[in-house]
Amino acid sequence: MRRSRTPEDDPFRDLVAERVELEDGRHLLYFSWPPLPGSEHEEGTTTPEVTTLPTGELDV
Amino acid sequence: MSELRWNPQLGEWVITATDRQARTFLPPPDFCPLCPTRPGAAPGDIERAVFEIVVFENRFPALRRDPPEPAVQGSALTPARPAAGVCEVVVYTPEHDATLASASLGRIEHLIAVWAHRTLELGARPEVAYVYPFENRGEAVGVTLHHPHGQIYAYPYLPPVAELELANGREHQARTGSCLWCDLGQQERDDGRRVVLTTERWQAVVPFFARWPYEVHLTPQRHLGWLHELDRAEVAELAYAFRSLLRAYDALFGMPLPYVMALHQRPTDGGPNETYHLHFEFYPPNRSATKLKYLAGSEVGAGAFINDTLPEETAEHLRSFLADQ
Repeated sequence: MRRSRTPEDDPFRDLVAERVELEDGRHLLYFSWPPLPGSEHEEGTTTPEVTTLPTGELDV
Repeated sequence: MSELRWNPQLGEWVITATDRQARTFLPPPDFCPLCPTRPGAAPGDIERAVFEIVVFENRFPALRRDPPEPAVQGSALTPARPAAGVCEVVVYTPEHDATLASASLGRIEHLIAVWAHRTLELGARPEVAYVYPFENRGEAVGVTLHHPHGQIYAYPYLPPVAELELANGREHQARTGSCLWCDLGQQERDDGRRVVLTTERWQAVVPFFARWPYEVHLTPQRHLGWLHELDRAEVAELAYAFRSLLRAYDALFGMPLPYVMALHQRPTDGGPNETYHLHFEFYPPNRSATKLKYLAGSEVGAGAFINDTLPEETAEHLRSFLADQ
């Protein structure tokens, strides 16, 4: 099922996910709407990868 | 050690995950691994002092992205396979003592967005057949960390409840031409006695066939399979209905009511799943303020639930606490 609504009616369009990798290889995601002030990522193991809601690839 | 072992008697996989024996058990608040890391404190997984919602892979997972080969030798009759999948922890808030019942509607809407995000991303993984967000709240249902949080399991197979619901939904569709959950919702609206709350787009009921005294199913009135299909109005009403129900639960016996919350969405296995209808299920174990319903001989040994209460009466009881909000 692909997401096909207009941006105006998309309740998830403002979601931001910042992905970091922990020292043991596990993934961690910080979610925000929009990014919180003063929440700059501290020095971590990787540069955060910022994404929005996945575009929907569940073709089922 | 972690692996899947096949039970040919019941036709289901059992996950063995012995590493989970070492997981953190009811730590004091100063050592909570779900709180933001504080200066001078032992470092946790969450490095930031300020965040809204965080998701990370469980340090003690039952299912793994890169699982080892089974440590045990299976057979044709009882095969074993790697415990592939993902287990995530969803931290609802940095506040250790917060509750969803006291959260803003905006935060609950954001939590719904996180569940949608994780379902899409995990469901797109080729080894994942079913994404299951859930919450265990309270020591009565086995909680080991009190900080407000839920979990998401991404299974490499359809777990038994999902498989059974899907099969029954398909059978109903083939026999009647309509959706099982749409028909159940219409029946409950027509009857009214078991309805706990309704909005224009959602309804919460103690189902006619409830196994637990205060079991509630929260279902969208539109036929939907996944959270990411919700529109803005449906998300806003879901947040309202969700919080209203949790507040009624906490008012019921004047204490934070333990519960298991289960989000049932369509499988992501690529199968013909269009008949399945998204819904939440809530299972509080209490039958009174001091008495729990235990799974005993009939439930555990025979799979036959005995409910000591009438859904028509427990729904009315819950409704009486909604009126106070």
